Amino acid sequence: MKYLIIMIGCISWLLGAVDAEFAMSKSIGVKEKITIVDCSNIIDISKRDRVFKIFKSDFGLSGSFISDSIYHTGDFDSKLISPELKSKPYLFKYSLINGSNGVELKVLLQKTTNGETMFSKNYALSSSDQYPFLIHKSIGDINKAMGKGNLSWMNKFVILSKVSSSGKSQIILSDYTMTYNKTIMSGGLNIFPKWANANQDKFYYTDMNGDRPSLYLVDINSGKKTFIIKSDGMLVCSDVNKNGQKILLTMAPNGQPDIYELTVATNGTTKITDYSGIDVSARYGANDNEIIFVSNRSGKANIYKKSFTSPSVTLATNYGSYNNTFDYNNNKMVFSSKESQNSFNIYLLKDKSNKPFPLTSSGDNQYPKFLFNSNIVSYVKQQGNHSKIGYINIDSLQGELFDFNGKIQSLDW
Amino acid sequence: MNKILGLVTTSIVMLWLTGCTQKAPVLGGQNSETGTAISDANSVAGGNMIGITDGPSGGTLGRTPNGASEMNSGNVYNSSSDGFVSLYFDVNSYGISSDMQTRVDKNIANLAKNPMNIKITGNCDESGTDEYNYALGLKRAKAIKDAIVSGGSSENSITIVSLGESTPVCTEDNEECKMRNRRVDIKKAN
Repeated sequence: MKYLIIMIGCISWLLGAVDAEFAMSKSIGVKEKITIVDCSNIIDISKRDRVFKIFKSDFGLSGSFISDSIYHTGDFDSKLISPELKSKPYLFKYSLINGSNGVELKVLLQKTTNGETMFSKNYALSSSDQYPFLIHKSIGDINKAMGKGNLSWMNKFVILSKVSSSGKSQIILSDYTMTYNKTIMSGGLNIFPKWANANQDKFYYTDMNGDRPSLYLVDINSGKKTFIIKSDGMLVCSDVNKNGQKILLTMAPNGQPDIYELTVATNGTTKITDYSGIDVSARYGANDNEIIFVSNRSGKANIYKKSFTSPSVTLATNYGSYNNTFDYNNNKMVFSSKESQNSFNIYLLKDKSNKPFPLTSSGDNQYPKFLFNSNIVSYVKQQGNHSKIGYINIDSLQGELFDFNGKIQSLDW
Repeated sequence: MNKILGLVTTSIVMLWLTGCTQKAPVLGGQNSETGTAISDANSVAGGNMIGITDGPSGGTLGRTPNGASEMNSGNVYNSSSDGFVSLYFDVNSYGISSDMQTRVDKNIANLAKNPMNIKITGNCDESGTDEYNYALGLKRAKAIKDAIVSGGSSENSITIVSLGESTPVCTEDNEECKMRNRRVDIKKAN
């Protein structure tokens, strides 16, 4: 029986280390092996499992730690470390408790060899439903204390539009695991939310409820809505530049979708592309001097580059013939490429390399996004009327996938 | 080792006392630096979030399908109103196919007989990304607008809008259903 348990343990560990969703096997070179122990006594099994998954995901995506998938329980205050927990060099204990004043989290990181405390801290938050952010904060603190780098991306909000029904949507704030969900706008069709600044206290969105699509700016602190611009046909805020003073739009004042740049201070627009087909999804490129965008200039959707000062347009990648979403950061690009009917995979392209590196291997994977200046790429996996959101650490190639309750229309970080 | 432990402990105490300096998204009008919601560091806002509510939006639903062969001819379904009929498109296309010409002519005749301001909305199936689909839907709407204007109607009486894949008339996972969503609808403008 003991051998059977050990074998099952080994298989579980291996399954945890090689995820079929990802194209490449994972490097385990510099990651610290860790055992996670739940000391919370959470009665709700689904919440208990969710909390454990979030801790496991945070450690995994940090690129610094690797944990197994075995769920352990224990006593937070006990000094004893049982022999089966000593198989890995680090032991992590947590206790998440809902109290009358909100939610409290205690974490403890120890060396299993001698019980030495490497990190210990208590956290509290008045809003119990925001507990995922406490977890992300604690793992970020541990990573930093261990000299492993900054995980501040985990503390950021995702803003997304969820399809409610035909012609209706909701705008929602979430944490990266989609566990915390707060609907901040509902009723009608409000789509393409986009953060207006790095502080994430304002966002743009397209209101489709009037006679023509309208772009609004919402101040989350005050709830104030400010009208920005209206257009025939369509209107999407595709990107905001680094200082938030200019935005890229796809709009169609004459029924023709092209890319425009809007200066926030004046609401004045400049037409950037002029093509009789489709130009959409523009992003600012290097130093805000160029744009990268999706166009059907070749007959199918593909990714192109264009300088602000030149009319010439060039392909951004020679890979594939149908590439429809992308993101760009510090000379790196990630993009989704159509492999077959309903099959899109995510590829990573580093500048001056013509050979993209596959990050996914199956399914309908789109909307890749570099998360700030981190080594994490997020993407959306569509499965019929439901979406999942995936994350890949492009250095360690560890990945996680989270279910979303519904279908994501668009999202931003 | 004791030095490291001491440093870690000191860091923990300092963090506990001073909180984190990371910029926080502040929601619901509560500033997390001055609020009481969180006792450490995190940028999480507590308290009340805003709940902006907007008015209802339209969205038209089509008739029940009667069969794929009739669907392919484009003669069965209609999610337009005010005497107009919907027009259907091939995958990733905004060209008007020859078997849609009868429907284009019917719309031109209806507008000539009943002059009014109209709204043409372009729609797509769920394949592809939504921003691209909004552009594709717009190109479909523009193609129908151009055809109607060619038939003698005033350009100024026509508004075009794309709804991308946001207003499907069918949500089943089959090709017939997708075909019904690759459409242009026409109705009287408000």
